[in-house]
Amino acid sequence: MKKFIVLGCLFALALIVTVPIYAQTPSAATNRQMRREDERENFRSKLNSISDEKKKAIVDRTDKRIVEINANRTGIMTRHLTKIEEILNKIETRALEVEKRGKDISAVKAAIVTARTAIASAKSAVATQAAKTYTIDVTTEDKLGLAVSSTRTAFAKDLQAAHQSVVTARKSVRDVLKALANVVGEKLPNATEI
Amino acid sequence: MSNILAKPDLASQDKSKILIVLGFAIFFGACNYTNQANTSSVIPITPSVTASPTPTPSKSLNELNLELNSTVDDGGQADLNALQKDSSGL
Repeated sequence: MKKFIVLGCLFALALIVTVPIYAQTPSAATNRQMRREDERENFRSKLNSISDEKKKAIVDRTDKRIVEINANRTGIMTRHLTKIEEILNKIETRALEVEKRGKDISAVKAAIVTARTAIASAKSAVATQAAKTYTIDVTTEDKLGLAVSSTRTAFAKDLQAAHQSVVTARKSVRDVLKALANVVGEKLPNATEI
Repeated sequence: MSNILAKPDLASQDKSKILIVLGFAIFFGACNYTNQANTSSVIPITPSVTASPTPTPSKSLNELNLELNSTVDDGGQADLNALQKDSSGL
């Protein structure tokens, strides 16, 4: 019996020695998350201090809508970029088929490189936008309108910048398409960028 | 005491066995009937045409251009306008 107790103790000791102990230092992402949560909590408590229920409801609704719109729009942009990239891949396949028939597609290849860079850049911009959070800086009741307006304007500006990067990516793919159309002698209707 | 511990006679043992077998038969019969009833109205449709092994022909440049057009939208302008309208009451 004694033997078993001694063996058990030794086993437990071995486990304690061998299991590594990791330092509980929070990562940068965790810090960011904690800061965001603090900001949200601060926003909530300031919002609760507003006596005008109608104004309080508008601020609360605006805050929620910004989160919803951001998630929705960046989701759509991501889907569009996936589609744009798929189309670029198809165009590239077509271009390689044309090249096999002896045509010069160097202009198309150069345009493809530009398009791939634009898509990568747009993907990065959209991912950054998706991760952004917006907090309405509630100070006093009379400055609520200004606070909401400045947050909304900043959000709109950021969202439009992300959208513009998608437009640029699409335009660059359209340029590839036009370059290939030139090589094969096809005409493209509705080839204007919005 | 000896009566309680005494083995039941052969006839009653047979009866029990027959009852058990009969019970199982009725149970399985009922199960089968229910399954038939459930499936009788639904005719399973198996796809008779399998996917073609030949690749689909590549799309024309015009089709790809139209596909590209499907990725165009207003960038959320309508949502932003609605947001502005809603918060204008402040």
